[in-house]
Amino acid sequence: MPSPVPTEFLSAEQCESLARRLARFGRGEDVIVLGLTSSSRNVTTWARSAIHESGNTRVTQMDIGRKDPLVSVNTPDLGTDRLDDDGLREVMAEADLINRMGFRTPPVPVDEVRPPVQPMLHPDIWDDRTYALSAAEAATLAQHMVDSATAAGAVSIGAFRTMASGEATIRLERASNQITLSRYYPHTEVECSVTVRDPKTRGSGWAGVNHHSLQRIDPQAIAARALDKCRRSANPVAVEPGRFTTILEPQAVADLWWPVATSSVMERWYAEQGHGPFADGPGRSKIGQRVADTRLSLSVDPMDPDGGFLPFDRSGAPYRAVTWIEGGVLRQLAYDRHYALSHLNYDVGQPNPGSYRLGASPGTATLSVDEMIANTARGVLVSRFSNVTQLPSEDLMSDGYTRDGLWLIERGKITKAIKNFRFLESPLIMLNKVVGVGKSERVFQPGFACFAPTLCVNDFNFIGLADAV
Amino acid sequence: MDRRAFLATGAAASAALALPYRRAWADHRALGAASSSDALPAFGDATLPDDTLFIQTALGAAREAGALYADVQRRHVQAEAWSLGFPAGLRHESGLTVRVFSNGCWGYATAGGIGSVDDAARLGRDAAQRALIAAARRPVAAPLLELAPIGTPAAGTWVMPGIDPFTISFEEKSDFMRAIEQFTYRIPVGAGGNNGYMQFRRERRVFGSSDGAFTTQIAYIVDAGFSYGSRSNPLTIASASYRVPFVTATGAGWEYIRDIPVRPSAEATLEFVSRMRDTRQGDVGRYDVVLDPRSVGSLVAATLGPATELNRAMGYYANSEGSSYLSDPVAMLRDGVRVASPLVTLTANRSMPGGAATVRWDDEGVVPSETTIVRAGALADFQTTRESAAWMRPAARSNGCAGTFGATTPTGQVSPNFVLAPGAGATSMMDLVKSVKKGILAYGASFESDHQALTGTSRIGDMFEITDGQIGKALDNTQILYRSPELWSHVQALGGAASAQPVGVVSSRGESALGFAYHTVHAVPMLISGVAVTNRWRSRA
Repeated sequence: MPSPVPTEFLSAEQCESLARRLARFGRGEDVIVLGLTSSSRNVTTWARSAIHESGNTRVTQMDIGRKDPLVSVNTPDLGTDRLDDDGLREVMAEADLINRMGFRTPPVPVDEVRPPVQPMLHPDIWDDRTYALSAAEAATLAQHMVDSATAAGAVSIGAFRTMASGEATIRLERASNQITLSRYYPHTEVECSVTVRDPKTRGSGWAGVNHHSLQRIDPQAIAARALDKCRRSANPVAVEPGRFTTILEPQAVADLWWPVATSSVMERWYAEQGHGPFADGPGRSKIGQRVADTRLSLSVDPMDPDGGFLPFDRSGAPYRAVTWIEGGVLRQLAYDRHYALSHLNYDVGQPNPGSYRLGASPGTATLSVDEMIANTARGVLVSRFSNVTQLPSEDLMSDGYTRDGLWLIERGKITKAIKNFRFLESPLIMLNKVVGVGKSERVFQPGFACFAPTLCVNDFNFIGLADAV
Repeated sequence: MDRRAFLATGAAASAALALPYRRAWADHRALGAASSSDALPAFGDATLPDDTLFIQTALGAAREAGALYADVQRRHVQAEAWSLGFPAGLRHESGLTVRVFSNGCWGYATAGGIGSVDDAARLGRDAAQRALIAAARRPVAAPLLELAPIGTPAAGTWVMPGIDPFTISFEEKSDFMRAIEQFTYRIPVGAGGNNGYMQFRRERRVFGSSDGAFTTQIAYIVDAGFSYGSRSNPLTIASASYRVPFVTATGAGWEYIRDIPVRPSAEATLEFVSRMRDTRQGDVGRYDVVLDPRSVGSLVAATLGPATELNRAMGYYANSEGSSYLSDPVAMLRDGVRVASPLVTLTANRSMPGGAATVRWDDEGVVPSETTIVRAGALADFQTTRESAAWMRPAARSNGCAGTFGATTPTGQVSPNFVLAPGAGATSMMDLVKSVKKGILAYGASFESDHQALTGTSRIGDMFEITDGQIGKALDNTQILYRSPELWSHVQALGGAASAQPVGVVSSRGESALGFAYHTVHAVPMLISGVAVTNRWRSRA
């Protein structure tokens, strides 16, 4: 937890005070649910191997919901960053007007009006060093990352961001002016990413990571990795696309999985309504059935020592440790408190935080990248993907492009850098074509704590050349 | 005429009749008319503090801290989204941003919300310190970088012509949406509209700079669309639904949506929707393809648009969105490299009425100039800001592409409006179709591209076969593949001026909930030869 108390963003007491001020405006005896994100964000960017921009943004964003079991309203997405009295009065007047216009939805279960009572966890996601990093120190760090590329005759472009914020969810009953739930959590984040390019050789390499603590990342190592990939991707040649045994570095796996991780596919209601790959007929999901290779597991834990994250969602529901997929078998899908109350007779939701850890199941022997390459007769090694888009299909078919490093493997060795491909593949089908699994690593996913392993998969489908560099 | 009366006589209503609804509810604030709704208190601009004081304070503090150039922007963004007849989203975002430029480096400091005069001073000091810290890292031997000149500093106030959509009552907007929905159920072919949407955005920007500029601008964006569904084909059980934008994102006020000619738009769309019930899989090969204006607008926004952003072409976004296949912009511009067929001329502006990027001044106080990006197929210019224009040649002027994504994002490069010059004569889209013996019509296709805007594919949107100049069956599972220079160089014909349509484009680069920027492509239908077409699911696992 921060010490001393930061002044760049709202404290817990200031958030509660804001909630009480908000409740003075407007009419009604409902429950206001306030979601607050108050942050101070520092950015240093560079391009063409020179620092270009250094900036700070301080914002407090407020999202307002209302719950009333007697006169239910379809609460729109109300939000503002105007915290002065006029701003608060305006947004509550809009909410009241919508209420008076009579837009109705099915009643909210009475229990849902009461706040969630489960305690939240307390992950360690604050780092004083990250919070206190000055603009000058950030510029020095960035300059060191640039220097390594410049010394090699390449061009560096990148971004270094730190953020400190306080997140709150507050429930206030207007009739009694009582705060019935007040959840607040301060946290820090650092993001570091760099691209190194060589216009003479058409080489391009990228590396990046995010974490809550600057002390847990190594910017110099990130810069070195990007430079290494730039060198190794020099003078790429065109190779006929097709189906390849493909080694996907952790960032590539994460790029493919990300549209799934935060989508309705992971929601129980979605599957039980017959949508997505986890549906198994009307009213049923595939919980208990195998959906991926037995060597893979997918889980999440706010208390993960390497990957902690904010321990509650916007409604105040606490996140818990959940195993979504265990040994390839689907164990759980996410649901909110409304679903739990109406379908499970249970007062506890199981929301999906978006963060995840995808990795080898316990007891699975993992392989290094070099071992995977040595075991591949003919294949490709992918650094990462970009423009990944899920197509309208029930099996999560996606397309996009490789980027910043693609290499051909022949007879157990990398033989050449090759031009980028366009792919058409389903991340879930990919998890069923696994040949080998590596150790999980933290990947670059700003705002989230995500881990993915290196995967070697069969028959990954590359459907076209994309000679963008 | 109220909604009930209109629906009773809908079949006999004239095609030009704008959708009538209860005008007694219309614009209760502006007209002062009695309304059945409770009036909202007067919010918005009247509650904002004195911008002059804030801006002068911030500039003064930046100068005292060593800034040679500083600018300050106060922005207030309101956004309203409607779906299924009720407001689904109401958001407000405000911010004060100070930028300082020093030898090729920017320092900036932003505070969301309204803040205080002390905050403005802090932002000025912070931005100046950051710029100096960044500039101190530049190599000593590197040439000094300055901003392009601006001439006479901008001053004045500009309000976009039109009815402020935020002065229109919720009841009127709701009634309008419900009236359209019920109207479409009366169209014989269609099964009715559902999932209609409307979106409104209002941006108030006050700008001041150390050059002496001081401007105030208010601009609106309106957007609306509806889905149409056809009844199932009893032989194939195939049905189709089509989401058609009645109005793509447009720089205009409420009157633009209110006065939409609903009937001809609905009937034209439903003709295509009914065709979509009869499909066959497209054949892989190369074809002559006719693109409707919406498809052309999307193609420009995916290819020539991003490729000619100078910041991007110079590599400044290589670590994020990507770069450009025009990878040596100075040399390519000097040589007038060919990027399209000689039939293609593409200009950029931020002044056209209804343009979603239209402003009086950009976010650096520059009066945007109309510029030719592609002239008869040759690269003629790039989109620039004051910083990037200076990279091209001494004394170059910015063509006014400075802008922001939301209220709390610092000023950067945004897309201007684009105009694809029409062909000579009165060629329509159907004339282009009639000229094709065996080909494809792309209707409302959207395009995506790779990170250099070089190669890409079509996405949503519908393809129809053309045989001997006639539109035939809809083509299922059919996708256009392209490489931008080759595709644009094979343009064979363009529609005439009367066939042009504005196509609104939304892009997101900001980190806030309202972090969007908008522009318009004024596009004509186009005929392109030798286009590669494949089946989307051809190589399915």
